[in-house]
Amino acid sequence: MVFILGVNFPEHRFIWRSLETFFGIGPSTRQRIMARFHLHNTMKVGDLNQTQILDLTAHLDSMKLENHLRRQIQQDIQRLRDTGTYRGRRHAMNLPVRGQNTRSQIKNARKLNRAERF
Amino acid sequence: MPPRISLFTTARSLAFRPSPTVVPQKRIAAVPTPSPYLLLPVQNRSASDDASKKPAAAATTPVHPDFKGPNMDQLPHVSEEQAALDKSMGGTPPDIEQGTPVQEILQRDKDAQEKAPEVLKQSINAGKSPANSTPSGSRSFSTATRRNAEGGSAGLVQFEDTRAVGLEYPDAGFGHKFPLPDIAKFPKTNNFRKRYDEVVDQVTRSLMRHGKLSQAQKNMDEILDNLRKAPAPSSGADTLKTNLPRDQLPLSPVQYLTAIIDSVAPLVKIRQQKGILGGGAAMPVPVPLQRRQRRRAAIQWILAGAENRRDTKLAERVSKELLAVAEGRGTAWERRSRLHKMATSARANVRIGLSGRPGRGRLN
Amino acid sequence: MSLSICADCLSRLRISHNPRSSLAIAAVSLTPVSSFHSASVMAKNNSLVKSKKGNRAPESKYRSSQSAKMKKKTRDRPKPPPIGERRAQRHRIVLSNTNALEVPSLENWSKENMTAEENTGRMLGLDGALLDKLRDCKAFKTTQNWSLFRRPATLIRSETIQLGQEIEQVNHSQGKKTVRHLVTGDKASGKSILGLQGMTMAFMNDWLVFNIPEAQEFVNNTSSYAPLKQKDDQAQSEQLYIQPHLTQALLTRALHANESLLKTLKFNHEFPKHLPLKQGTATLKDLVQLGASDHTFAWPAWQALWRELSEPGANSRPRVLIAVDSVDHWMGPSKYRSADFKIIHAHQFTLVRQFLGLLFAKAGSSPPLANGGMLLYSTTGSNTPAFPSFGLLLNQMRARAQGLDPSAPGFPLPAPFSKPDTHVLELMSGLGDVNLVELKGLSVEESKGYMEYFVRSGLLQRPLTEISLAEFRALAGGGVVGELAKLGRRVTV
Repeated sequence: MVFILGVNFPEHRFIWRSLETFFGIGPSTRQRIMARFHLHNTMKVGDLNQTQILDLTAHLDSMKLENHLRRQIQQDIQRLRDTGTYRGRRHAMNLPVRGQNTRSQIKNARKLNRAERF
Repeated sequence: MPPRISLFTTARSLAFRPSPTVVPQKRIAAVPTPSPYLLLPVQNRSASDDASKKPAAAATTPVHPDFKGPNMDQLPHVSEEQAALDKSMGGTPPDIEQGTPVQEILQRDKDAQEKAPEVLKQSINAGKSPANSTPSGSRSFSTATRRNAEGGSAGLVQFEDTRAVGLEYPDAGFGHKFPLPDIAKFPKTNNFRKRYDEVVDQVTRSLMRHGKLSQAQKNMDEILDNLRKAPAPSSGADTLKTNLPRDQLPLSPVQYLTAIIDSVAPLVKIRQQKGILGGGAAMPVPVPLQRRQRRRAAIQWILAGAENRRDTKLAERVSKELLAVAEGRGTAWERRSRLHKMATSARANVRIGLSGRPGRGRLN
Repeated sequence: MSLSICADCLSRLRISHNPRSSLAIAAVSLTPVSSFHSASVMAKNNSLVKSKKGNRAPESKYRSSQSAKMKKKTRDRPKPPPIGERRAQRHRIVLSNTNALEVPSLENWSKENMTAEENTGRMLGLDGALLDKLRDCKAFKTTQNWSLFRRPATLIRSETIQLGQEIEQVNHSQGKKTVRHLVTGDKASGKSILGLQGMTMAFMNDWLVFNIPEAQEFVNNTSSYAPLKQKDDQAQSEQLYIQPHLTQALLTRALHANESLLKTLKFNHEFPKHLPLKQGTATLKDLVQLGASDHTFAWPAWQALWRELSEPGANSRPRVLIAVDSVDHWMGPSKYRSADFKIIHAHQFTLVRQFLGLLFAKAGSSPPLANGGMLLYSTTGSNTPAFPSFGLLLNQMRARAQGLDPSAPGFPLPAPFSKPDTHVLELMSGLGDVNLVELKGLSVEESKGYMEYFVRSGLLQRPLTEISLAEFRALAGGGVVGELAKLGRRVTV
């Protein structure tokens, strides 16, 4: 088991897969992180040496991930709401924020857009 | 205060049209039985007609005896005119019944000649030329439906021998350079639909998924290669029916495959005949199978057995299952014996017709 | 009065399989304790009961729905094969088939008949010691049909004889003659087999053989890489990268294939201090072994080894064959990214750069090998990447082979508005010594010998006549050897 940013990963798991489990890291960010530390695509978590793990954890620490990111998004929406903007209102009404039509396809907006997002 | 609305003016402004007193014709026509009105001379007049102009009824209008309409005072036909003239001059009148050709008319009427259409003028001029019976033949093609056989003065062309002199090919037939190939000597695989062995083709088609024949053929290639490489089946298993000695089977993988499939192929299938026993129970009736059907059953069993194997490649799974069947293992043998047992126990259900042959649908 | 039920977990409300026993527990736990938390007491009592009644069904640790009917059907998932087994299966090389007939008149290929021209178009067998070496340096490939025949044998074609003669020439030349070959040809035209034959002949002549069986491994981002730390004075314009694991694999292949030869080689030069080797007694084998055992030492070990092989010294050095297959993959951008997410070009990898520099050596540069040898690089026909600059390079080589001068008007040049790969264009200055070997279909004699081998091995059960041979050659695109091999094992009715 390898400990990265407070999470234990089994050694046989690919690094790209482990990284993408964090909220806030998708394929693009993951590629950049891996290139930054010269990690190749088929590398497993078990192949990391201690310094690489520390470097990776330090880098991930500096990023806004998981709850920090959630809180940030939450605050952003709340700010929009508090300043009384249209976007804030749309968030609160569970409606699309960026001027989409609302006649038919707004399932995702209904589901996701809300003042208390998470 | 006077009332705002003047009743009189409004009454005047209303469009008041009394209905026409004349009964419309349509109404009359709609009466089913002949009414006395119909016998009267009908006034053909619709509602849109101008009422002030009464139509002149022909029967009732008085006509002056000298009155002539615009069409009534016409000259007689040229033939009649000529006839009358000839009669008075004592010549032979033309036959009025037959009518006169225009050319004749034009011949005697100079004035009309000048005003005649261009085509007629040409034909008159042509008439002056000596050979007027046949067309000039300026057209490059013939419009006649039949070719004038007598016209060709060159005589009939005889096509007897197309061979050029000095190019004699004695082996070939008449008129050919090369002899026809001996088709009887061709292998049957020369037909592109029958390129492959019957069994190989059937297995390939059974391996095919989603219509990917090429992929199936690749797999079949690999299966045959695996049969080639695997050790020969142990001689202890006498289940494999083949003419070849066992140690030669891997070298001829097609025969190997055929032997495996034909050995494990069932003889019959059990048809569940409904509605004979009654009570909703079906009667199992063993039905003999054709050769291709027997093979199909065997192939399906082998493929089903291969699906239970854990190898990653399809070709590996199938070839291992085939080898297992060759050794006498494999589920296909169990299924075969079970089926045959069922068929034996249900053989009383096979009905033989009066003719001594099995009944309808159970042809051997 | 406090509740007898835990307000948090409400565990008393649980419905049990066995109401009577749970009632009994409840009775036991209820009487003495008026607890805030009943959970711990429950657990305690449960354990008591469990210990008392051994055959009772064990209570589950957490609350679960009690309806047995709704229980999810557990699928027994079969155990996957052990790690690495499937890969090993995929890469396994089988060199014999006991079912195939033995070909009685099969001669062995040896140093004696290596250059005999009468062998052209004959199959010659490979014997035991050579096979092990070839297997160790990964010369065989799974796509080749070694597993169909009783024993491995290879077709001697005219190009093979030519290669053998060149090896002889290098052997006899006193100077540092290096022969450079770039083998191209259509798919399945025998490029990799020619590489294998070159390696076989090198082993026969006790050469040192380095083989890279798949050049694509260096560029497809599946192996470790690290930036090379350069001293300031020799800093290049661009960052270079080393590939420790690939270097290790290269050294491993070299170690196993050339072990007996490496044992006899002593050091000519001093090696870096940080390598844990005994100065003086160590042989080159120890050096290679060190690199092969640990990937952290792989790159310095390779550098030390290369210095020994390329710089002449007191002890003489063997001649060296370097074989690289599917070299096209080295002619463009790789799948790797640098730390600032820029695409790394294949030529930025040290090993790639080094090997390509050997082949396309600039005119006037010092000879790359201390005692001469051969460079045998081949392109790939089935997995060709689209690198137009390399296509241009090949065209230029063809034009040179036809005697066209680079300044002549018909000489192929980059398209005017294209952006050719500058790294690849740099190689053009070193085209002079490279010999382009274009493999075409086999000749009639060669294809006859090849198909006869199939007939004698019992794979092709059909008499080989002139007509059928012509048919095979026509179907195989004019005798392309891989296609002939496919036809040889095709079963016909």
